[in-house]
Amino acid sequence: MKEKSKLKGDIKKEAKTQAMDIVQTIRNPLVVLDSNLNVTFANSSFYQTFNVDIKKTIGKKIYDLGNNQWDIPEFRKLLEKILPNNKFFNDYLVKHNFPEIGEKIMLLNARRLDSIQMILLVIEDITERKKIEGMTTELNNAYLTLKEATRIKENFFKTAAHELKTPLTVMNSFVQLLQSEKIGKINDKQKEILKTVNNDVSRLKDLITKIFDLSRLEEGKAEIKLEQTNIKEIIKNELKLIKPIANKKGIKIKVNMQKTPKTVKTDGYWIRQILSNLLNNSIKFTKKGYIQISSYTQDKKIIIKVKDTGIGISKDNLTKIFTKFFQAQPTETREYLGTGLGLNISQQAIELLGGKISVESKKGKGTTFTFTIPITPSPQQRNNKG
Amino acid sequence: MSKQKKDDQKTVMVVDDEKNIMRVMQMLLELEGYKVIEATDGQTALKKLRTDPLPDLALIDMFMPKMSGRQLCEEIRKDNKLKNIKVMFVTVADFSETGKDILKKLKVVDYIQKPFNNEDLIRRVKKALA
Repeated sequence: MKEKSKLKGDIKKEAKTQAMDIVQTIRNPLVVLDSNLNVTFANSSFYQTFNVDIKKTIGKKIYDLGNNQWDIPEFRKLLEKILPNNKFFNDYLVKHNFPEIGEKIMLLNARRLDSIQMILLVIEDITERKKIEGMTTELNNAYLTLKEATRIKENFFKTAAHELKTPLTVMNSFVQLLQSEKIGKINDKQKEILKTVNNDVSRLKDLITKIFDLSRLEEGKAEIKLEQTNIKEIIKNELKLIKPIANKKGIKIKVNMQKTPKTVKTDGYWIRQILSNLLNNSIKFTKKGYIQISSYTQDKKIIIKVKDTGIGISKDNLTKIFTKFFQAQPTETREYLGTGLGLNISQQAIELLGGKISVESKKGKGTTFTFTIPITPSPQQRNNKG
Repeated sequence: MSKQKKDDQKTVMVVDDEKNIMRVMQMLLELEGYKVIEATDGQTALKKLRTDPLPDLALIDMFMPKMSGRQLCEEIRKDNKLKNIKVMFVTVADFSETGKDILKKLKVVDYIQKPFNNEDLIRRVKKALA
């Protein structure tokens, strides 16, 4: 009999050891309380997480642990009010500032083990998770604020573009209509006045376009629409636009586009803006001689050169001309009108398309701008769609 | 003033909420001998299209309150009686922004950017009507 009960005791002991081993492997802090709420057992995770001493834990009332740190009102409520009426309670949220270890946010899972008159408490420490959640919410809110600000800004630009371009359209078309003499003859004096108005309308048009181009480029919002683009055609069209000025100034226009592919996958809008800026600069700063535009293919790139026999740029200024608002001429006595934005826009647009721009110049002799456009856009260009 | 004979006179509808733009476009088109139908918003345009004889071409502004030019065009393409009307956008938008695929999807024959060159507008209208 004695041996039998000893055997029974051994089995019980072994089972208990095994059970304890298993409990130790549980990652969440775990505490077993007796019916008087005294701690009878706690796993290592509990000691580590809450920084309590094992010697001052076992046999102590749970509220007294760590110099009464555990006397938490929600804790009392759970153990004294909820559990006596419920066999178990899951995910009971407790937020408590422990004097020694700081604030903890915990989810408590409690279970009444009636057969052995004990209470099992498994604590999930969600402090870090909540912190990250908090940061995520903050980040998310910041993102939403930023998104809203961007939307407002975009809307503003859209409205501003509309509000600026609408009256300009009316002025532009009515002046042209008067100039055409389709609604009545005008005298020479009137013709001269209309020409002045027309020129200034053109200046405003140019400025507005440049401001919007620049804002799109600088915000990184400029979209690239990759399409089969006929560069030769764009060059021809842009030349048509400067031809009247060239004729008037007696400047020759030379073109060489022999080794240029029929189409290139790039963005026609920006190619047009770049060429318009470069050609208009050339014609503006050239008094006599010629403007030459040439394009050819080399190393999977199209190389476009705009050469003129104009006033040229001094060595000092050569490094500054791509800077926004930079004017090579002195402001007060400036002979040539302009915004100082064209070259900066061109450089940014060329880089957006995956190319490069360079300049060579000799004061008094002339200037050559050379830029490249990749024939096959890189994946980066392909992905840059705003 | 009219360059076209009455019986083969083409009709162009102009949809624009800006009065002065409407005035200038009307003058330019009438000088070329076209008959102009005005509509200052999308709803009015649809109403006129559904009740009056169809125009040969509709010049539509894109940014209009209540119904945008794009929405108007979508309505036109949805309507069996109107869906074949030739549409041209006259807009401050440049289409690297708005997307040329929209033009294709809405079967827009052409677009012209404001401020436009008068001769360019007329040339494009003529081409669209040819």
